[in-house]
Amino acid sequence: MRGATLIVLAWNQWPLTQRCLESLLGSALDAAEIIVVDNGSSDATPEGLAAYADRVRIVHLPENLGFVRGMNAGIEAARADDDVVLLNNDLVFSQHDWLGRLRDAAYAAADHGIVGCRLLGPAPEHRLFHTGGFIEPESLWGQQTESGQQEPDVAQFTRTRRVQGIAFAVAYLRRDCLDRVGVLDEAYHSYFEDTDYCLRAADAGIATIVAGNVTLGHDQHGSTLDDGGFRERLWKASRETFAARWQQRLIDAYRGTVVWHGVTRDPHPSAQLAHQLLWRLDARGLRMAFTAVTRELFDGHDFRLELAARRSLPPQPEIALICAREPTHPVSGRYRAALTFGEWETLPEKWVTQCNALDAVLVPDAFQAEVFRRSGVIQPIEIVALGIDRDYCHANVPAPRQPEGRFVFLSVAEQFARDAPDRIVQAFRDAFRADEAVELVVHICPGDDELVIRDALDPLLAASDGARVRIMLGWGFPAHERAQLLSTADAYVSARRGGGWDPLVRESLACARIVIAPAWGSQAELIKSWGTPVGTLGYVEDPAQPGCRWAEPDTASLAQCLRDAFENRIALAAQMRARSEAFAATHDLDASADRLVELLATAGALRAKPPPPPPHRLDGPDARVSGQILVLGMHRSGTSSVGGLLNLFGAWAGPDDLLLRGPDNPKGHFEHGELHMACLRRLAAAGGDWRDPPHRDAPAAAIDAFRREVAPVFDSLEPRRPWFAKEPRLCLLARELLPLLTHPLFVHVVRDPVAIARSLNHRDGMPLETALALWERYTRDAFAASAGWPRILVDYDALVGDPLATARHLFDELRERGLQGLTFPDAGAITQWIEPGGPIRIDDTTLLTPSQSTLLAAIRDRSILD
Amino acid sequence: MNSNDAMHLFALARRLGSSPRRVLVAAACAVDHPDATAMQTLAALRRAGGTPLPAAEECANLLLTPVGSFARDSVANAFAALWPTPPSPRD
Repeated sequence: MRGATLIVLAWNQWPLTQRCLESLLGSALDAAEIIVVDNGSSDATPEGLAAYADRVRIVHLPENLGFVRGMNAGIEAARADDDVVLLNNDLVFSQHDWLGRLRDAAYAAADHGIVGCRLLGPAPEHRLFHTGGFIEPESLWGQQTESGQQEPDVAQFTRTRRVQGIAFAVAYLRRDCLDRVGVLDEAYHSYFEDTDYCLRAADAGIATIVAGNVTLGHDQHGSTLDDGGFRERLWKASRETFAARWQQRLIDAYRGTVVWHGVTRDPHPSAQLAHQLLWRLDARGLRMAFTAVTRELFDGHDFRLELAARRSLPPQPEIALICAREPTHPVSGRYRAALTFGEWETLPEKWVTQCNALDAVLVPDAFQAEVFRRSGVIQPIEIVALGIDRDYCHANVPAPRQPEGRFVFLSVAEQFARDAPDRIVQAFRDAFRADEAVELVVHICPGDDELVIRDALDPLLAASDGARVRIMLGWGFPAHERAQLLSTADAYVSARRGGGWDPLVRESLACARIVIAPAWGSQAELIKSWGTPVGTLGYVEDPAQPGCRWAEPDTASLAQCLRDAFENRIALAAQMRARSEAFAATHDLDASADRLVELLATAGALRAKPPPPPPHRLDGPDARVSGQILVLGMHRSGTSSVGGLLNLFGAWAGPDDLLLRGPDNPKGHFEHGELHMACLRRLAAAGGDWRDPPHRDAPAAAIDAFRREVAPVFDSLEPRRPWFAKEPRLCLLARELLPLLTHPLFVHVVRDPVAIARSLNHRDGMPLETALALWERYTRDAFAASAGWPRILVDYDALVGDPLATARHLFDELRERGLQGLTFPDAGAITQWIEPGGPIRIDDTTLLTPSQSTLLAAIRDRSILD
Repeated sequence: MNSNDAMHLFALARRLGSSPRRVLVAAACAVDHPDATAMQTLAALRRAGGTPLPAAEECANLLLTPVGSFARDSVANAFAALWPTPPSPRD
């Protein structure tokens, strides 16, 4: 197991430190050592720590040297090859496997170096204090969440994501990151040293990430409370140091100013886009400023939007972008565009006139593009597919559930004419009897129409004692709870006449809800593919927009859809749950932001994006290798031959009695039997085997069990470095073993894929097409696992063609990589092991798919190693 | 509005089975009836009757500016009111 030194920094506040240590020691700490750095405490800390001396290492400092020097003292005391985890003493380790998960995230990609996690604040609210943060360059206010708010925990940000920086209350630092970036900068006493470190790492191509599947408790500033202003003085001094080093660089990184002309008051979709897209664009290098197009009271729930609203507006910004209820607001900018959509089959004339006065119109789908074009817009129209915020909308959002177990339909009504809530109530009452276990909840959004909607629904509800309908009037929820609202229901139902982009149906699908809605307008293709389409009865005029028509929902069709959903609820719910992740992946708001930046950068007057630093790799000239070798190659690709060569060089595969031999390879496979069995069990646990590999995202429990099986195997090899592990299934699984290894070296064995396929066809009766697809999967996974690490490529065909020269070349490469303890055997031993043969490459590329041909070409020209 | 006021508002809304926002709207309505007693105002609120004037809406919205952002509702509270947990058989 990859070693980790956990460094807890303590300065007084012994009860906090004791609570921290108790919960830490109760968690899973494989291959970890704990160091407590006592930063010159004058309370009960020294005596208290003495009682833990058998379980933790204690470093006493003579006086309080501050966070930075205290942590650096811990790093200096850490075991030389260990990763390091910096920990505050006011943490509570409420998640047993937190360390393993951080380690997993750290090794999920070669350029990962710094890993943080979600941090919850103190009781009773346990708000989400930290999800990875950012620093606004003009004010230098560092924030610990994307919104700048401490939201209740609604399972937001539970994926692993790259961020600008993390708080070093919990920071997993990979050893190679420490080697490259160094320790914390002692120009800081406390504060800003974490952001500084993350930015220095970014300069070196090292990514900072947040492992969203780890959540710990953190009493923020527990160790420096009640300090008579000491903390504030530290903060100010560090801020000055940080500003001198970074502020101008961060400001200069912006490519230009974009003024977003919009609205902020939910629930209108334009306001939602302002909240969700604006900061994403800012994070992508656009200096986003915000100005409201109507007089409105600002929504104070969005720190980033507030920052954008406070920014100075240049008279002629690079880009002006309108995103409001109507694209009819006059704007000025060197490039002017509207991100917009209408509700009708043709647009009001005023819209067309205004759009034609802009440089471009951005719409969310082909339906809107067609409507804008047909209505007379002659300016360029570009499609920017608008997705959903996956960090908030997913299948595991916690939400209240109907306590009597009724099946719940939810509808959200904002505008009476557009949303037709009366049709939904009518259809629901037509579809269900009072004694059925079903309920309709209509949430009437606060807004201009809320009382109109209530007045329209009241008579419908009073007229009969039909199935239960509950009206939620007067409740206004914050945006971060919208996914919770949707997740209270089993199905989301819409009868919208309007065809405009509707985020609620998309968010419901991402939350794995059944969705029933008219397949019209911007929802047409979406509902046909992912939802239950409600029929329409042709077009009717929008009373508020004479001449503009939208679709009238068919109440009978809607009633039938509701009935069908209820009758098939179990199957439909399972189907939605199975498909929600795929839906979210293809409707991702981050992809929308990428597309928007690309469009604005192409057409607008933005400065060129500065080239990013090359990603951090571990195979550079100064890369260290430790003598741990993984041999990766598809079945029948010659890995046993290469294993035998490594054995001749003096690398160890394990005790002879544990190495496998089989009828298909009587000379031996050089496969460790226990490693082989662990691989078999790992694939089986995820529902697959070598012929039919399971999906790449295996259950965490399966990966954990696999690692626990393999760790003792690697540990048993460790005393005899250099050693190697070889198993064809490792192509699929090596990535999961990276947390167990220290500076490993990968040896990829490649062979002509058609020869492999024919060999598998001969040995296992596998069809050639299947075998080639399997080769592609193994090969792609193997090279993905070793990306960024030191690696060597061995061509089996070359080895058989010229064993001596190929073996010499392999040996020299291993030596060049710094591998110690190998000797080159005599030629007889090599030719006895590898029997020379003629050229065996088949080169029948007609059997390969284009993707397989591309992969093979990258192997042949070795560009796959770049 | 300070945080103590906010706590009172929240507690009052909860007692009335209402939301802070609705309480604010009702309070704004009550401005039009200066002779009403506090009890009459609360009774009116319970009935949830009357149509708030635009000025009352604006008043409530004003109180929901950043300073008063604590007056936002929560899904958990809303559904706790909508779906009260039925008493268990042992109760």
